[in-house]
Amino acid sequence: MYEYIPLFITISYIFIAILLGFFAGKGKNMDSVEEWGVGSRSMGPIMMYLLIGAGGVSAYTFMGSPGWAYSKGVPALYVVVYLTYMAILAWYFGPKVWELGKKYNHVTQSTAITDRYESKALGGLASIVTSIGILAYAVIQTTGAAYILNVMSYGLIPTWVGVFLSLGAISIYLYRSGLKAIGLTNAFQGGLMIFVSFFIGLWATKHFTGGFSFTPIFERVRADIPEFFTLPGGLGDMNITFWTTSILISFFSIWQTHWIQWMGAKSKQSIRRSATLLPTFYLVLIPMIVVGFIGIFMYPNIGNPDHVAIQLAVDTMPVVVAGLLGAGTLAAAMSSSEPCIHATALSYSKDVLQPLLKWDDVTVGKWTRRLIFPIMLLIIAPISILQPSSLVYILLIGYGFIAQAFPSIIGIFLWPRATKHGAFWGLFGGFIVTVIFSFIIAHPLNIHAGIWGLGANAIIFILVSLITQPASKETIERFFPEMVDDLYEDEANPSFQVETK
Amino acid sequence: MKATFKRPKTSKGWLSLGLIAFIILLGSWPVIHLFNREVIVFGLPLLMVWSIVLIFLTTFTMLFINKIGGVD
Repeated sequence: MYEYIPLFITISYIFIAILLGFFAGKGKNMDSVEEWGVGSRSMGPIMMYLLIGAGGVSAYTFMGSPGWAYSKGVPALYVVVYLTYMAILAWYFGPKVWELGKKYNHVTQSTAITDRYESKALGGLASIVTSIGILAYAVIQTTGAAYILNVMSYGLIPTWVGVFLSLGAISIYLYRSGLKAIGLTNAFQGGLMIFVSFFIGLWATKHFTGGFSFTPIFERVRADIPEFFTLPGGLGDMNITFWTTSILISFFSIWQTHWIQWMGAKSKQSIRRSATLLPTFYLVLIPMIVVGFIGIFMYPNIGNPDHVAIQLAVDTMPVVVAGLLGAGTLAAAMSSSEPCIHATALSYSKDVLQPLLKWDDVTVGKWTRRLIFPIMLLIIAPISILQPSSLVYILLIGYGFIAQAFPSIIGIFLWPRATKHGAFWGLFGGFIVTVIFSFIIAHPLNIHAGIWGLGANAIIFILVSLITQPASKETIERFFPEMVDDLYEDEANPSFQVETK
Repeated sequence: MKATFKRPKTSKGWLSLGLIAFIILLGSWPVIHLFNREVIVFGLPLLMVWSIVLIFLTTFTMLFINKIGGVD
């Protein structure tokens, strides 16, 4: 029985999450999009900090980052840098998104795109293209969750059961409480992750070196495998160009999930305050990357590098500590997949099915939360059970697709001349280029496929916008009240119009 | 029909934009070359120390911009 204590701790975590999430939405009407989708915009800065932080830090923290440190070395740090930079986007765009959403009742990114560009087709396309990346992300988190349950049970819980167990738990509280469940469970999960990461990092360091200094670990790395100390890393596949473009593509990715989380804030100040401090949350990655470096010497022949931290915990740490790592990793996986499922259901319902099937708002409210079940059963579960090979590469490719919405977002906040045709063809062209450079000619010149796609997207977006008609004056007035006269200067100054004829 | 982008309206706004661009440059090519060395600092690889420095620099930059009212 003793060996099952880690499993017991890990499973206990699931029950706590279900309880917290289930009661988070008590007394609320969850058949309302406003309530289920954005939790009535009620979250303060601390909740927002943990919500966005825990949502960004995924199973990657406990599996992928030590895995990359183990197999490549310092390239694993690119995640620390891009997550830090992503906080800048939350800090800059978050309050603007919130204000606009509150004013015009937008809940998703695609709804805002539909409204700004006066095109339901464009909103639908943006919803589908960006959901590819978001669902890929949910898949890798679910795979991570299933793996943890498999290891902690010594193989008693097969992968497919683990997949259904984690998705089943999420479905209970997500269906019941929507974004409020995500907020409360992420706050709990975020706290657990910070504690577990530092605890495990220090424990592994003490076990390996006899003290708490990292110096002996890295002196040995430098002496034995110096290539792990610098880019392009141990496998030679992350040169400085790929490092930079991978960070940039992640930086330009405003996730549907982030957008919806920002909408859940109590005020603009809530988002700005939480986003200002958000980079500090990502210190949580550093101890786990150190654990990956330790693993190089303890497990020179491990089958899957993503498993190194868990293996180390199971083999060398007391059962309670191993159980905490299991619970922490499961928390990371679930806290990242549940916003993806929530956002996809919300966006498919509001931005794809409502215009397609002419649903009224009551029908949308009723169906939105029910959509989580087909998304989990027909998309996430089967792909997770097939177990894709590397967590990080799927994530990286996913970002390439999510970033394609960036020019359209620029057109919402910064460029009134952007048109629906520019945004549509930019998004379409960017998607095609990203597909080609992800799967056929992978990352030419070591530049991330998504950056190629984004470059093509931006050029098409600008050129097509300049030769097509902008949105109506009424719409531009709502989005850019101070620039409407510049854009429609001919109408504002008819005498000038006559002179130029 | 003018096709201009929305730009900062004040010098504080331009300063803030410059600071953010500078912070992003600090973690990218070509600056990152300076930190891509086999050197141990505070017991950690130089690139790891630099990543941690970037976390705090980014936070302090956003705090500074909030303070001077350089955003919006």
